[in-house]
Amino acid sequence: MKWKIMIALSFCFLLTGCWNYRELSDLSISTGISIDKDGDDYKVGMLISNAQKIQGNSKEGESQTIVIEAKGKTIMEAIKNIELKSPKEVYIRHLLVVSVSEEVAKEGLNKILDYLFRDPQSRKMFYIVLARDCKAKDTLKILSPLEAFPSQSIAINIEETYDLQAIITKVTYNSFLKDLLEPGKEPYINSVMIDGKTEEGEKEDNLKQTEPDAAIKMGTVGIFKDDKLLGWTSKNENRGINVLNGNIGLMYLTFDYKNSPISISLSTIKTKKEVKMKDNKPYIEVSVSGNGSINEINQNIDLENPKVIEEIEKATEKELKKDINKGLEVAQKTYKSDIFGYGSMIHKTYPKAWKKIKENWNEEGFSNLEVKVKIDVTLEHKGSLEKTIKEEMHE
Amino acid sequence: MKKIEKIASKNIEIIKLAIGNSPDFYSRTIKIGKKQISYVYFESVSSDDKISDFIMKNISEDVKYNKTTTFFTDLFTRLENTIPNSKLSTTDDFDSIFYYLSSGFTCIFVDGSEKAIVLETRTQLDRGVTESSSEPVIRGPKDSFTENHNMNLGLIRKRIKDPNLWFSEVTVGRRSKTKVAVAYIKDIVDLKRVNDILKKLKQIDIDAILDSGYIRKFLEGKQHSIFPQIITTEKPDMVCGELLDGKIAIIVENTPFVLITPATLISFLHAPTDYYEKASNVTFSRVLRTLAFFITIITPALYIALTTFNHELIPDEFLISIAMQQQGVPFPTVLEVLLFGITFEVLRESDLRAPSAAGTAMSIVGALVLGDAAVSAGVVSPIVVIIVAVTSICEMAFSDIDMINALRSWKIIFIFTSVFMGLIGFLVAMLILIIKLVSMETLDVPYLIPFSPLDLRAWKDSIIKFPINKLTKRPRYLTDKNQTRLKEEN
Repeated sequence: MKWKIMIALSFCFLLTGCWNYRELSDLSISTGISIDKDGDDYKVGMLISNAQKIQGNSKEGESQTIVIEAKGKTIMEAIKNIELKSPKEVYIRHLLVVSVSEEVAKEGLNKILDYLFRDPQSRKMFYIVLARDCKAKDTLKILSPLEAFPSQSIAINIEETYDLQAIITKVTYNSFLKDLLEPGKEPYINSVMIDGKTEEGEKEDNLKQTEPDAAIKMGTVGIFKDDKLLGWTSKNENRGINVLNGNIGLMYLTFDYKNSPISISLSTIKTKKEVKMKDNKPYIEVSVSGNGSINEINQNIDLENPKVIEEIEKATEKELKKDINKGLEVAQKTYKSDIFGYGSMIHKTYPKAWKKIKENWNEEGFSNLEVKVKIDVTLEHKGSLEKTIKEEMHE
Repeated sequence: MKKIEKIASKNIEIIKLAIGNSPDFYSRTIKIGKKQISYVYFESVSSDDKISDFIMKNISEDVKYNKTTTFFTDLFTRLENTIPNSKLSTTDDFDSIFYYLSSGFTCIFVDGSEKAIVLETRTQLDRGVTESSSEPVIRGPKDSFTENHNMNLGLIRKRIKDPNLWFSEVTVGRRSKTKVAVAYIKDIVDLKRVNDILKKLKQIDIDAILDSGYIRKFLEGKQHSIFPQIITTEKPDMVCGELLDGKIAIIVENTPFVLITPATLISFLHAPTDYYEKASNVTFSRVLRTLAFFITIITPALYIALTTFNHELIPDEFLISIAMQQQGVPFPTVLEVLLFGITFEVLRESDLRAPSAAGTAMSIVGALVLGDAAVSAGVVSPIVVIIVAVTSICEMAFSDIDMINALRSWKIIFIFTSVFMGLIGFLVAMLILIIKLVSMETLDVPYLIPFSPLDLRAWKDSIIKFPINKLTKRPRYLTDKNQTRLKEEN
């Protein structure tokens, strides 16, 4: 009897009817979304990654990507219109990149962010990029010979450039929202540009050439106030911002030392930020320390002399300081937007003081905030060469 | 008890009647003096040469000179004492005559005696000691048990020359009268378990025991489980190893497969040669076997759960790659896995049963059909071929056929729960599996020991294996007598 009841009960599981059952071959897997503006409507483009190549001349598992675009008053409407054009269900859980045009960003991202956050299907870990000087849709169309689909090429490019050079920032949807919602902190987003002709880049022939006609290039960050884009930064400013935020992997510096260019790489950069009070006014103390090595030097100097190394260290510190100051200036003076989150730091350490300066923080408090920067760089390695090549030649 | 007739020739008539005039029955009556002696045997199980040697040579003098007896007072005592056969005995039970005859003995009836002389004249019906085909070894003793009961006991006896190695024998089977020996080392084993087993064996009232497989069900008791609770092996060295650990071996006549009990899950992850190789290498292969255990059960179910319910857990590139491969395949994923899995099982089954000459043809066809053609025809996606292939390879990492079958059954249970509820179903099946394993017991030994309940000392010889000089004690969960295995140097 016990068994009979158990068997009868276990049939209940069958009544659930395979909740959420979906075969992979019934899905259009979208890994990239582009959002452009067309008059009052949004134009949403979707990069579908699993379109099959015509049989016969393709290997197993090789895919072709297609971009489907549709208009709508809201993002949701546009996506539903895309589904009219796609024979399979659109699936956005594996979204990698959302590319937003400059126009939409200037108008404010709130409207488009809402849908992506509200949709329980979407992952919140995708990268947001701004399409600079081009249509957002086009950034999803440039095929790269090194990666399978454009979205992946953008995502991997962001990760690699971030790890190896300090000129861009990794901004995922999550981190953007966090910055946006935190009082006393403003967000910033990375941009991508198209290097070459879009028309050529979207053709598959682009892959067959040894020198592709078009490629996706990483741009610098765009600074926001609330959800609206204010403007762009330069490479140096961007580097300064990243150092100040401690948001950095490897970093390269090239500058003139004794009238000849020299390249330095800094690997372990640590940034310490502290809020301090002086005369009831808060100020920020930032100390940056880094280890590095000399990568390229094309002049006659004695590298075995510790004093020379010290001198180069000083020069590096000076160069770094220049970048940092540029970064501070662009945020404090040009755009007046607290992308460093100093307001939030004051809020956490001196909540009472924060209440007084909360109003108009970006315009008044932040742009007049004193930031003291201390830099300490040590150069430990000289690479495989003990001296410079020129010196070796003279011997 | 039926008595033996005093007139020799009458006994022959009775036997002939009882066995239905069987063609392999042979009898002869010789007259010596006034008395007649008759001897009977089965030609099929006896050696004619031996009978000629033992009986005819011995009594030919008597027959020649037609005298009944000289030194001995009567003919029966004369035969009993002078036939040069080491296994000669007498019996007065007529029913036991049939047992002796079937075992290859010859019976001699003498006029005027109520007893019969039985002597061993068995012919060689067994193969010799050969290498094991079911458990091949790379290093270590290569001999294996045979169908000969005495030889099997001998293979154990010669390895442990200790008077404490005891064999308790029980005869099971109303018709087959099969000898079942229970082997143990008296001062190591937990004697309660031995008595328990002997009691269970005596209770079996079956007409025939043809293989040790008949007995295992009776020893397992009431617990229902697909997982084997008894180890089956062909290797005497493994049996001896387990006996020394405090386990009990059950040797059944006429089969080379010896049962060892109590078994734990971990003992199926061990191979007989584990103790002859370097400990570090053994640890590595045991880790592999443990992995294989889980891969076999989990992989197909996890694949189904992930690709039909929980896509978000698969990395992007892999997901798109799978999606591409599934395009154009007409069946749902589950059916694909099951179809292909079943095809493989059929191939395995037919390969097992088919005569070896057909094996090559079958593997060629199987490899072609299962591998390449099915994919190019668009019946299955390549990834499913990989999944089924990996699962099957892992399944074969175990030498115990019962373990392989258990894994196969659980694999299917996992597939079915995953089909209905995705990862949740998968976890449900996992829970059931764990509960099932944890609650199992053989002869009061928990199945998951040394992991549950925890026995850290036994971990030294579980998935990891310590070198032989570190394994100084016997496993505590099997016995608490005579714990020292290795006396450490002071």
